[in-house]
Amino acid sequence: MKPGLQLSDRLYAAGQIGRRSTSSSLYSPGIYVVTALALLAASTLVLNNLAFLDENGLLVLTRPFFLPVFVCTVLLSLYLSLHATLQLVREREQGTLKVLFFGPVDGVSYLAGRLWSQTRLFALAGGVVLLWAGALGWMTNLLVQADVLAVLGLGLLTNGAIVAFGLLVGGWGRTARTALVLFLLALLLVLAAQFGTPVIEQLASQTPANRQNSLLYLRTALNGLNGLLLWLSPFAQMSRGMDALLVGDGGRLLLHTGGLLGQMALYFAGAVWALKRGGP
Amino acid sequence: MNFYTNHKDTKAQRTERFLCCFLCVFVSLWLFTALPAAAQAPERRQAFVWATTVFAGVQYESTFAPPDSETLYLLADASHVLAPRSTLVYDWPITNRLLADWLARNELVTGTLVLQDNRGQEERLPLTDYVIQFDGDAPAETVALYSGAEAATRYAAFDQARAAYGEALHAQFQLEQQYQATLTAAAQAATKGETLPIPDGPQPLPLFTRYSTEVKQAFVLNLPAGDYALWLERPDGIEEPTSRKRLRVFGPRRYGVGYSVMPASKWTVPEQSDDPGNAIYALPGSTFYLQPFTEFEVNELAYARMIDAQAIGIQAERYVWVHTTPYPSVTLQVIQQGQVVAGVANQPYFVRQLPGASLGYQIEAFDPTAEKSPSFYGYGIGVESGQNVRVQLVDGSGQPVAGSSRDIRSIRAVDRQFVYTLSLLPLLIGAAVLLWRWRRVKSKL
Repeated sequence: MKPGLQLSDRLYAAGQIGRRSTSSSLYSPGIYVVTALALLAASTLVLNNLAFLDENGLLVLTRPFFLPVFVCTVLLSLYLSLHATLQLVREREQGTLKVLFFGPVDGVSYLAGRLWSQTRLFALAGGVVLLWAGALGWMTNLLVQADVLAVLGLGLLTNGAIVAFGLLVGGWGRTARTALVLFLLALLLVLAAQFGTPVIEQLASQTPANRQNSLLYLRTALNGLNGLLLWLSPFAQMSRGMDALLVGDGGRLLLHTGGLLGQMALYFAGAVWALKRGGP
Repeated sequence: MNFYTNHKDTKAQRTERFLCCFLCVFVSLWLFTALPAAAQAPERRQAFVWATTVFAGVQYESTFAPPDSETLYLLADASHVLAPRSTLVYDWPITNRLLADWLARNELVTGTLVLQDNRGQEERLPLTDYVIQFDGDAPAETVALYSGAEAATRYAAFDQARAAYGEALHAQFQLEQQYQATLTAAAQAATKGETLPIPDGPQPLPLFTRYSTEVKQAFVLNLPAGDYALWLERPDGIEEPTSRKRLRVFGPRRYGVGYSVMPASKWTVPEQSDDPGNAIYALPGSTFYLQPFTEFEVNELAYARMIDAQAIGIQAERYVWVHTTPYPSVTLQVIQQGQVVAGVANQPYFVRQLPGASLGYQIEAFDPTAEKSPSFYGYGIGVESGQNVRVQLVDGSGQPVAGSSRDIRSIRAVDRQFVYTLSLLPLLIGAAVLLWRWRRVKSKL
């Protein structure tokens, strides 16, 4: 903490940085394109269900908009996180941070401003997703329930944790290329563990397994990794939070909400440390 | 590189040496684990195993826990059997399973079961007699496990009933023979121009559908949910090696009423509505039939490992619904905007195959005078355009059955291109914002 920099100063600085960063993002096409892409993916999921209904005459679903909203959250938060990473690295490379840090701004307020900005952008995009879900529900008569709002709330926290992770990567990587590679590697690791395990489980159950089947070792390794990532990956926490919502388990919902907040705090603290260690 | 000189290694040399060692170990391990399996006859070895007969919600299932499995799983508040057995086990590499050769060796290992809960309190259980019985006509409703003195009593009653049935069967056989003899005599008399009276044949004896295991000895457990440890203490007071296991007794996460949902257009391919949070979406003008059954939701890993201790392809994070018995006939209420608008009864239906080569069928109400037996029973629901209703079962006293409620919604057709166009709404908003920004900047210049 800079000597003499009070909490109110930091909040003011973070608010200013966040506001400017939000305006800057809203005046560029990126967020609109990614939101549209996310909605296209989500629409495909909904239309897939409707196509099955046309074919089968009947469809049994629990929450038709949970998965589409989850997909939107994943795509939006990944974009916003990568955006935050690259913004941080670019501003450091261009010396903007050095200039900023001469004023009443330090690492905490700068990173908090970035996090605040990306959270606001997600909230705006989430509002559009909610509008889309409401419109599609009205058109098709698919049930849109109030708990979609809770899923978006979980998505907001997930986005915060992912963006904080992106800031950590940005603080860690000295150049844009390094940060990008680190970010993509981390993303691949999470995706491989989260979505690879069911695939491997499926393959292992289809083929006659024996003690020399490499899938068994891969499955064990992925299971171990998955267990670890449960507490590191915000997407895993969000997915489990949604499951708790479905079964109406308030205790587990609180646990996973707390898990998301904890991840956000952990990654943010890591980002502050990395920025301090690397210097502006 | 000279390894004999005594000067201090540089950091790069140390790193290089570490990498070489790591690579050697990795390659050795890989080669060791990648050796092909030698095809050979499985070698049997004597082992202590826990043979389990567990209540899986509907019926009893048997399996055994291999010596290297650490945890046993049991459903809470149900009676299960744990039998300490000495047998011969062997690896079956084709399925990667450990199998037991029960025919070669299957001996009860006597002793006391020591059960320790997670507070460290121990309970000691002796071996007890047990028997499992059910009626084949309604196995799920009648299955029961009897232990202790009741096991012998129940088995004696079963044995008596079986013996009585044997006698009845013998008497029936004699009656059949007498009837055949009468028929033969009547036929012979007819050839001589005489007419003898032909009596009615004996009524067929209903099948003996009761089933019972023999009285066996094992430990019978009925525990509340929780984590325990268990082991077998031999008569000499020594713990049987490899008998110590963790015991996880798990309870259902939720109970409910599930539905088998049969669309009239595909009645042989029903959909399942297990989760009480499900909504059923249907095309306007369609009809479907609901068949309710009781169910509970349990952890997939615990349930699968309880039934098969070597089960693979299961996840600890997932939950599965277990269907138990068909829900007894009650009334299905149809509720629209909070008001009960109709009551539907569980009715029999008959599926009539349409003549001709079109392979079609028609589902109609069962007419006992025209058909032998119904094809199925169910609650028939017709879906109208724009209809949003909720259905729920009510019991004999008119109370809603918990977990039986489902939303039924008629789907409206949409143009796919329009849905995709709707997804491009953010681009429209973006274009408007950017245009506004461009004009604002331009006006300031």
